[in-house]
Amino acid sequence: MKRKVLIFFLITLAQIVLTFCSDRIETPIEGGNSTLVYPSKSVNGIEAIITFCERISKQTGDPIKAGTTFAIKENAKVYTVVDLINRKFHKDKDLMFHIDWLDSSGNSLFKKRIDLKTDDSSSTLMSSINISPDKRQPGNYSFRVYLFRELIAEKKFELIIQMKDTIAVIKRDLVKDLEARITFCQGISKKTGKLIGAGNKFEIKDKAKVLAIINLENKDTSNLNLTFYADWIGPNDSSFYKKKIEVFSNSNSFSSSISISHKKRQPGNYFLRVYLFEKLITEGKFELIEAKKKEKIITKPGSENISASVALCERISKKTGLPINPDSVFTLKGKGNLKAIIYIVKNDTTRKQQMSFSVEWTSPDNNTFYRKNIELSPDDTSSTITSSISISPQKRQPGIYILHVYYGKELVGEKNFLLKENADK
Amino acid sequence: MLVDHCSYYLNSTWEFLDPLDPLFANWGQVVLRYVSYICAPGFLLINGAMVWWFYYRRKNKGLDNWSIRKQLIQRGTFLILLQMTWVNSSWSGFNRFDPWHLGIIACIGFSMIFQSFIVNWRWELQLAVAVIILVLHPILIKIPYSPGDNLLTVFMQTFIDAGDFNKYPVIPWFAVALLGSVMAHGWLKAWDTDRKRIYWGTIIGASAIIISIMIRMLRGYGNIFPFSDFGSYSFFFDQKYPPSLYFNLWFFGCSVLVITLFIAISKIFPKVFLIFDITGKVALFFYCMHIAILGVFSKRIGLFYHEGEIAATLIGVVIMMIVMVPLSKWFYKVKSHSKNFIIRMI
Repeated sequence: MKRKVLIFFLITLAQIVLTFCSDRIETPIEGGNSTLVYPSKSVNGIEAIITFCERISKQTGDPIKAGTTFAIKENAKVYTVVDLINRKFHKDKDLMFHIDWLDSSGNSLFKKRIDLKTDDSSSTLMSSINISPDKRQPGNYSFRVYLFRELIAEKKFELIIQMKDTIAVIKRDLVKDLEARITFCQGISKKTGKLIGAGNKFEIKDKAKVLAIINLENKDTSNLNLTFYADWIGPNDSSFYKKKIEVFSNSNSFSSSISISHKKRQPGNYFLRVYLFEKLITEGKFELIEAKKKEKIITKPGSENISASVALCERISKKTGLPINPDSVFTLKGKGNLKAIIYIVKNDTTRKQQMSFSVEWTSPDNNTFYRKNIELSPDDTSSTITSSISISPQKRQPGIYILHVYYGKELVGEKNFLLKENADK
Repeated sequence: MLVDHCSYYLNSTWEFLDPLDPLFANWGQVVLRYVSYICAPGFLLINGAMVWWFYYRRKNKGLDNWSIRKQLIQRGTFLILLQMTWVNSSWSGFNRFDPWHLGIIACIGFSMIFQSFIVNWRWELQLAVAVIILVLHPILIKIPYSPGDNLLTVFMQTFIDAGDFNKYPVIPWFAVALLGSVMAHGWLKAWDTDRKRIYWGTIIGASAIIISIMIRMLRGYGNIFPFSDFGSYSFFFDQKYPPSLYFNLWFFGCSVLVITLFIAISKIFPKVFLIFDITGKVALFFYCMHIAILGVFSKRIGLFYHEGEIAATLIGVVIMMIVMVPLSKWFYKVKSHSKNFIIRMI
């Protein structure tokens, strides 16, 4: 008899403890806003409604862009607003809440205790988690609210990766080693395809333009079109022209140009900034100056009446003596030479006298690094003189060089040319 | 204790459970954790009683106070060193040596050393000291300090507060040990029959519970976590690390009632606790070995580590009992015949 009484006593005690302890009904119901609610056993028990959103209004505290699906993005967050129902009936005691963010495996990501004291009349709880790609994976997440350690509400949300974001991530990865170089010029020869008037200083002229050639290096050869943005910045540091440029997978360069007419441009320093995936990948600077009279062939109508024109090339035909592929842009090479063929034009062909020419090569820092004097006797019928320099990287720097031709002390011809670095280096 | 430790290794809830501020997914997990809450108060209570028993047994053999005190200090020091070496390392399956950390065994060791100085006092005086400590502790835990790797943290968490360095501060638990010493006076001396033990045990246990409920209902002094309503889940779940006044009184009362219940049950079912008798004779060996086995097999080798839930935990308990009961029986025999200092101490 004693045994039966003892067993009955223990079982009854256990039942009372287990049923009496919980404030909540164990089976959840779907409450407002799709929140899974564990209802209170008491009439005015606190309930919670959970709302997810992308932002929260600073002025009203209301959720902005509420939903249950959110795209994983850099620096993005999911906010939650928990509205507490029947809060007004519980102002006489401290309320202990816990909020818990869980991942798709049910593991807690972030847990926080929030105590609402008796002097705090708040009826909402707020929390947020970062959903940057480096922190979160796509999947079903959930958020739980506990009151006095009892689960009172739960709601799920989904994190997704949007297709355009996925592609952007893949592209970003593929072009991480990409480098871009800008070369400014006045145009491209339709015949030779070479740059015309390459440099960093241009005269403002009507119908003139500055053309920027952007060469891409280390570009991945995969079948990927890239969208660049060329942003032209004026002397006042403001953008005056922005262009979206689609570069196809098989192309390693693209261009953008602006007009430099008097109507549109002022003298000063200009910049071109090139962006890829909202990231600045290269920047170039050039200067626009007021036009001055400058010609490549300077005719001196003075007493001597002699002028000179210059052609630059790397090789001269042995048969014809003519330049092979004359150009104004050359690449620095280990054993390369740059040759200048200077055509002397005598306007007065009857004059027979000794002619003294001087050919000066000037580097980008305005130093004459090589001078050659050439004498033509009165009997000499030749109309060309030549001069050459090495264009090895050990001796020359990239930049704009100038060749001056003097007859006596008078400048009778000049030629600008660009030496650029070898892209394969 | 075994249930909680099996849960610690096998239950996935422990992947993210913060013992200082626990949240549980369901009632099963709550019960699984809550049943272990009685362990620390029970350990300290029994240990306090054992120190009393040890003292008077030696005293009756004619040993002087200092000789007995010396033996208790020696054992207390052994327990602190055991915590810092074997126990701390066994939690990780001996994967790392981490001596600068204390726990329940060190707390028992410290309590034993402190108790050795007053165990010979009258029970009323010991009770007064225990009550004064319990009453003062809620004030002491309000002493501000910045937890970190410094001496103040070590001091605070060794004696008053709980944290990463130590979850079992000596001062409040020492008070429980003193209450054990007081109870031992009743169980082993004053109450000479089981009927008296059951009667007084029920009165004292129920009184402690009633006082703890009164403290809890006042919602202020002696409470750490707020609660919802009387009898609700949160009502029973106050802070264990460090224990609130409510927690200590509540579990002291529960422990006394459980012991009283055990006395009552063993009168009706004399053989029902035999299994606990075997393990209880070598309790320290049981403690040290079961954590080591779980640590090595579950945490270090990865066998079901944090993979299961309640069922896995309970299966783990059964398996561990199957392993530990014969092991404890064997060790008891070894210990009975051994004169080795360390084996005698375990």
